[in-house]
Amino acid sequence: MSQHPQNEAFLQLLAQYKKIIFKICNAYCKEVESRKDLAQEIVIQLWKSFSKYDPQFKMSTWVYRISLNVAISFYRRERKNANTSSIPDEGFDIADDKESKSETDTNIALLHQFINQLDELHKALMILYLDDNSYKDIAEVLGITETNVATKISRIKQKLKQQFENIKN
Amino acid sequence: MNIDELKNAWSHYDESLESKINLQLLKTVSISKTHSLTRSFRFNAIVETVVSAFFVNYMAQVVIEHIATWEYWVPALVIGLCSLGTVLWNVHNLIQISLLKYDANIAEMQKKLERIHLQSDWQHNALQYLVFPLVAAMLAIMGLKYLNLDLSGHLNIILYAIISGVVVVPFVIWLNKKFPDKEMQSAIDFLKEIKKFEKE
Repeated sequence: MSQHPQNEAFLQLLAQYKKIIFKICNAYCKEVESRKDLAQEIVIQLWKSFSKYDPQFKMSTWVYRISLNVAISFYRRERKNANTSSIPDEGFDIADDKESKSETDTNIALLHQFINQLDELHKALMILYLDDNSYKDIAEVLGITETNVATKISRIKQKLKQQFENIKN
Repeated sequence: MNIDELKNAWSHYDESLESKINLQLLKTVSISKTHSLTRSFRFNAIVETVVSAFFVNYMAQVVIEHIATWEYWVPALVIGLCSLGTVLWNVHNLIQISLLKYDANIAEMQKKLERIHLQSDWQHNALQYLVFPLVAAMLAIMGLKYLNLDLSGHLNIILYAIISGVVVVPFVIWLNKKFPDKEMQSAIDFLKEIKKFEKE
């Protein structure tokens, strides 16, 4: 994928939105190999859809939609194949830096633990929310109303508060 | 930990990714290693379509050749129609799959995908029940074609088996709805989950 201007543009897109892809992979897959497979499937789908990109949507919205749709479908397929059994919640990234695994950040660990407990749709909502997307953008990606987004986030906040209080106690 | 702390933790995690991400992994996609999410579905549908198309063609020949012997052409017609139904159903599913847009919103896209899975599972289950009564007719037709074994004098049993098969269809539909298999149940549950997610 080089030389051709469209390929160059696509590589730029990957560089710009790589973090979105990696965060989604980490949230939907526990095993490192599955994360790599998912990342590749997302890239393939982004590439297939790239020429049909509709500029009426923000590029980030478009990337979220494709990545989350692929991730949810992948997660459901993997679950059917029973590959997502009890795997420890460590090693969140699919990066090549091995040191990262020893840098235990309690808050991040708890956060991931919490995200892992959510179902596939609420997980998408949570990622979008934590990535500081507006309610309008979240609604556009998920296909629900802004009011609905607000209600769900408020519920998640309550659940979260309760959960962390339980951990403290 | 409150929501602000949570967001901070996420932001910290986000920043840390910048230096850790192996972009090369994304740039060097191995097409042979990736499995399209719908690849196995497409493959099965294509194989079924080819096999069913063969049966449609074969049964059409039987109908034409044995048009004077209703004991043969009627079962052949039934099997041919079932095969034609399978061809049409699979073509419909393949078109639906090719029309899937991954850049559609999540609720819409996931609903479409799950409905296709559900329809396909339902079709397979229904076929499993229908195939058994049709096997007798199929064997009689194959016997005539390849072994020159004329069973027309004993075909009342075969016809009875086919009629039983047809009568059983509404029961099969009811049975499938009442007791869906694991995959169907999973698709039904996810569709309900999406509906709830959209409504709340």
